[in-house]
Amino acid sequence: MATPRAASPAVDDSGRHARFRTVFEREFDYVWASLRRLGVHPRDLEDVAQDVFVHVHRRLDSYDASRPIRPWLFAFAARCASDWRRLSRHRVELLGIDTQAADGTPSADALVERLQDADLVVRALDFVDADRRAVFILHELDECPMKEIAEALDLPLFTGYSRLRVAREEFTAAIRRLRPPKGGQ
Amino acid sequence: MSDPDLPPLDEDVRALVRRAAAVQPAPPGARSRVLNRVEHIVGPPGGGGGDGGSAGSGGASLRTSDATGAAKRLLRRVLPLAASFGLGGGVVAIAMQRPPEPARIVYVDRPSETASVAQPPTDPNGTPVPPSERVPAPASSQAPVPSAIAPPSGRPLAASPSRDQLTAERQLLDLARGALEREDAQAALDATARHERGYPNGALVQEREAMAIRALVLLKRTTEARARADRFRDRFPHSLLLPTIESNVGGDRLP
Repeated sequence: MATPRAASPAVDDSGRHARFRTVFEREFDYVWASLRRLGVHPRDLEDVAQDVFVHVHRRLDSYDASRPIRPWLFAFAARCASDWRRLSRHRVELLGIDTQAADGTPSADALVERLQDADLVVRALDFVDADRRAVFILHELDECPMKEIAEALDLPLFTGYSRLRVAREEFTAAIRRLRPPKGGQ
Repeated sequence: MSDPDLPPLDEDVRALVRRAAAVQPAPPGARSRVLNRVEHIVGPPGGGGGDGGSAGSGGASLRTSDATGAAKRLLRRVLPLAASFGLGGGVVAIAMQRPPEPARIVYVDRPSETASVAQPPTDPNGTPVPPSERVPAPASSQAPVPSAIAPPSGRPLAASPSRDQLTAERQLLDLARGALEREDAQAALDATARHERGYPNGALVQEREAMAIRALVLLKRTTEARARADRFRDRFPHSLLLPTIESNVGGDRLP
């Protein structure tokens, strides 16, 4: 279990579990989406999400509530996705989003278009190196400042920017390959 | 976002990324399945209860101990009476050999204030919430009695009513969350009010309060928002949601 902080009424087991449930309820969809963006195959998402939240539960005491929680959660997701990727059988698959209908908010066309965009982004992310992908997702999709990214992923700030620069190139090249510019053949 | 000396994304790629940035909800059922699996691994909370919504196994074990003690106390009182009325030691012996109630553990999240599946939720005054204002319970909740099995691992094998309640609570709050995402603050506030009527001390009360406060702020009802935020801070001084709430009501710290 995690190293407990100094005596605080909030860090006993029940308090921690209550906090965990709050985090889980609030951020499950985010973790799920992040794992997909990190390349985890849909069929394995529940397994990997379970790993993420087990780690989160055990390390919740180390979370600094004054900081945004998503970069902190993303770091767990990135590590678990990395573990998942180490199994060689996962490497060759080109991933896509299973187009399950979400809640019926906008029109069907708009929903399909949004899912297609999300699918394209996930497939393009698969062409970005894993370490750089994590920086790219946090910065471009989650709009997280680089300082937070560097702290969450335990990177020097310069390395973060360097990875972002290359990731942008890789991602753009992948988008061009997967989707020709409008008006082209 | 300031990216010193970095070439930006091309405009069309950037637009694509923006469109795809919204977090899509996970498939139905995934959330509860993952939560069940995680809680099976990490174990039950030590103390049960807690307004943040701790799972019930820990509470169940405490209740089991209580039940054991109560049964023993009862037996101690009954024993001399039974003997004096000639019921004989046989009956008492049988009663002593049968493990008292602890063999049948009822798993519930909260023993007192939460509404069970069999009994409709009530508002703070005890008035039942009309069915039209309640989220339909999942099919698994149709069972008339709560799970009363005690698997070897000490954890429930089947979904307990508390899981169903949590699902129902979450469905209500998903409505509020969706309304907030659409910036429909009144709809969000209505949804949180329905949750409050149905589950005044539910497992997701912190979530509800945070969204209600956000909705009040969006409706420019700042006095109410601040008062509600004050109550939240008093009630949940260590909540992870507190910084967000304080930020919503406009200030680093509440006065």
